[in-house]
Parts: sequence; structure tokens; C-alpha cells
Amino acid sequence: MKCLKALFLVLLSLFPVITLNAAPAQPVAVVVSAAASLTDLMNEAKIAFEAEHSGVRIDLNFAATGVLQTQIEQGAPVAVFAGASSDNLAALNKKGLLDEKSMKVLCGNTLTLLLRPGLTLPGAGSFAQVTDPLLKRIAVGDPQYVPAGKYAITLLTKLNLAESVRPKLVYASNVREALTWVGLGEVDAAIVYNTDAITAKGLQVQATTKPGELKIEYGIAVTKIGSKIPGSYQFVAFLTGDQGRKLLKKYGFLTD
Amino acid sequence: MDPGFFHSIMAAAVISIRTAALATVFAFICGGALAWFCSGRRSWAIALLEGAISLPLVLPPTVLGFYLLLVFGRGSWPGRLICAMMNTDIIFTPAAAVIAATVAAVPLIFKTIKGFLEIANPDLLNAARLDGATEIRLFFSIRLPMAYKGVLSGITLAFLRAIGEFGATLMIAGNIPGRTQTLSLALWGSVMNGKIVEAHILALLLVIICLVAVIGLWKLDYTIHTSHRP
Repeated sequence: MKCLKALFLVLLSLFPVITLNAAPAQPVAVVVSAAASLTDLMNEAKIAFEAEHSGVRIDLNFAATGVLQTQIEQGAPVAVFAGASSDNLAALNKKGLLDEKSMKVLCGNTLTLLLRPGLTLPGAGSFAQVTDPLLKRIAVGDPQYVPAGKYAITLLTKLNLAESVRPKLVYASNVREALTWVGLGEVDAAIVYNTDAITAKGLQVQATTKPGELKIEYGIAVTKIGSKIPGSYQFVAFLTGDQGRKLLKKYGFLTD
Repeated sequence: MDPGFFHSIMAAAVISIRTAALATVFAFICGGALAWFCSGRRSWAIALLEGAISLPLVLPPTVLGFYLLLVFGRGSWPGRLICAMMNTDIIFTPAAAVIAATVAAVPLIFKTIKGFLEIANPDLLNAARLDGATEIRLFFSIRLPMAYKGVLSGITLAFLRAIGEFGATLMIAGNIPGRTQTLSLALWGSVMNGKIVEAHILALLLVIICLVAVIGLWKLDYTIHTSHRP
């Protein structure tokens, strides 16, 4: 069993090399934490931005907005935060973790009621149809921490349907999960962002909110950590500028 | 499918394998040392220690990730202390991915090695002691060779667990393509974004890596067995 002994010693001798290796080698980079629903947009924005600003590297980090908020609260080195709800930004700002002056509305969105493949409902499409007995299970994001779910509940409450629909609701851990479920036919319908609905093929759009009917605002801001890196402000300016707006429109987001 | 998809798949595969390999090494060193320390001892303190080591095996990975975030993030005093000592941030770095995978893998190495250490024949050990062998010599020359099966299966299980690590990694290493995005995280991203073809490719890649590791272990085990027959 000499080989095992040798293996152990080799591993031990690798220890210092590995610890050195594990330290981040890269210099200044702008870490951007973005809501999962912004994935495609941000990937394209990163490429366009880096082509213009050769000195800056954008590192994108995607998760549900609530998770991103917790990470920043616990001291994650994030320079720019783009969340699906202004509430999350406001909460971080209250704790003094954002550069307040940099807080901006990034874009708006609308909600859509999607039906699973093969299902059709009689009558004109409207959100009131969520009470239809043909819809046994309806997926929404978990309203406790998924902004899309919060917006969906707000909409249902506005329509006075929240209480009657509640037993049918299935909570997803993020909005894309709700979309996946309805795409696979695991649920009969899902309330998701219109921008998510655009990416899904073969699903029937039953109803969509009008722009402005619900206040859905994506917010963006530079964090206290990011305020020391000029690149963070440049990236926010890029996204909220002409080029950024063009990209946002391309992916179906609302801009003023 | 995105044109840069294969490039990003390769990056994720490299990160996954590098992270899992490093985590296995760390988990082997920590888990092995702890198994050595705990084997043959019986007390409340040891029971408590063993319970704590085994927790990552049963806790939801997100809970594990949350605690790691509390320990290593600059939002807490231990985090600030560690960051000051290392003179750099831990959260959102490749090192954080290694930490998450290591903590998840340690109990597997610990359990398997300890189980095999404890079945070592005490007569054999005492005979070696009589001949003047030190405890360290004993460990390398008798205990470890006798526990080789435990060591091998522990290492393989740890590697597989590290490759599959997801929840804790997402929490403390983030999901940064090209830096901390592992295959598991990339797969999650593909599913979330409705890119089913990409998800299939990533899932298949993970299955292949894990199969190769399991078959490799089986083959190694077989070789050792046959080569030791007189």
C-alpha cells in the first residue's frame, strides 16, 4: 500500500500550492447581481459594454432577487444590483448598502396568464378566468421572496380573486420555475412576466396586463462597495442609456 | 442555442472538475484527520463533534449555504476577520465554491474512513507498538492501508458530492459564468431560461463525469483485489 501513502503525501504537499491557487487572481472587475429574469438581456449587455470599455470586466451573478439581496446584506462583494422589484433596492438602501444617488428605475414589465400546451378556455381571455374549474393548479412565484409572485398576488387582490384562487396556487422558487412547470404541463396555468412568456414557445397567452395597470418596476443601483469602482457607474449609465433601452425593448421590457 | 454556448460549457466543466478535485483534496485531509482523531473514542464531546461533522449530509444545501454566507461574508465579524486575514473577499470567488463543496464532502470521507479505521485488528496495532512503531507510523503503515477501501470509496463519494454541489455554492460563490459557474449551476440556469437543449447537454455531461468516476473506483478496487492474491 505504498501507493496510498504516496498519494497522501502528494496531496499534503499540494496543500500550499492549492491555497495559493484558490486566491482570486483577477484585478478589478464589476460584479453585477441581476434577477434571473434579466439573464438573456444582461448577457448581451455585458458583451456590448465590454466591447466599448476595454478596461472593465463585467462578472454577472444570477439568482432570485431575494437571494441576491441577502447576499449583499451579508457582505458579498457586489458592485451593481439589478433587482426585479424596487422594494428590494429600498430595503438595501435603508441599511446603507447602496449609493442612494445611483438608484434608478431600470425598466417595467407586464404580467401574463399562460396556459399549458393543449389547454384552451372558452370565452374572451382575461385574468378573471383563473377561477375557471378547468384550471386546477396555477403556478406563481412565492410571494414571500419572488417579486413576480408578489405582483401576481397584488393583481389577484386588485381583481378581488385572491381568496378564491389561493387553494389553487402553487408557489415556485423563482418566476422561471413557474414557466418551466406550465411548459411541462405540471400546472394548468402560470402567472409570469410577459418577457418570460415571450421566450416560451407553444404556450397560449390567455391574458396580459396593460402597461401601467400594475406598477412593476425593475430597479438598478450601485452598491457602497461598487461606488469605489468607476466601472459600476459606467455600466448603470450604459443600461439606462440609449443602447441599454434598445436592448431592454428587444427583450420585451417596458421603457419610458 | 447561443454561439458561445460550447465555450461556456467548457468553462463550466473546467470549473466543476477543478472545484471538485480541490474540494476532494481538502475534504480528504480534514475528513481523514478527523476520522483518525474520532476513531475508537467514545464521549459526549466526540458524539457532538461527529454530529456537527455529519450535519452537511442531512441539512438542506441552502441552509448550509446560508450559514457559510454568515461565516465568510463581510456582514459578520468572523467574516470580516477572515477577509482581513486573507486580505481579500471570499464570497463570490472560486475559493468560495471550493469551500462549499469541501464542507459538503467532508462527512462522506469522514464516515467511510472512520468506519474502516475502527475495524483495524487491535492485536496487529499492539504488535506494531511493541516493536516501537510511533502512532504516525502506525497510521501510515497499518491503519491507512487496511482502510484503503474506505479511503477510496470515501474519496469517490466526496468527489461526486462536490461535483453535484449546488445550493450552498449558489449562496456563497454566486453564479458567475466563467468564474464560479459550475456545470450544476449552468444546468440550473439553462432550465430556468427555458433552454432545454442546453440543459440536456449539461445534464448528459454531468452523468458522464459521475459514471466515469464510479466506474473508475470499481476498476481500481478490482485491480487492487486481484493484484494482492498470492
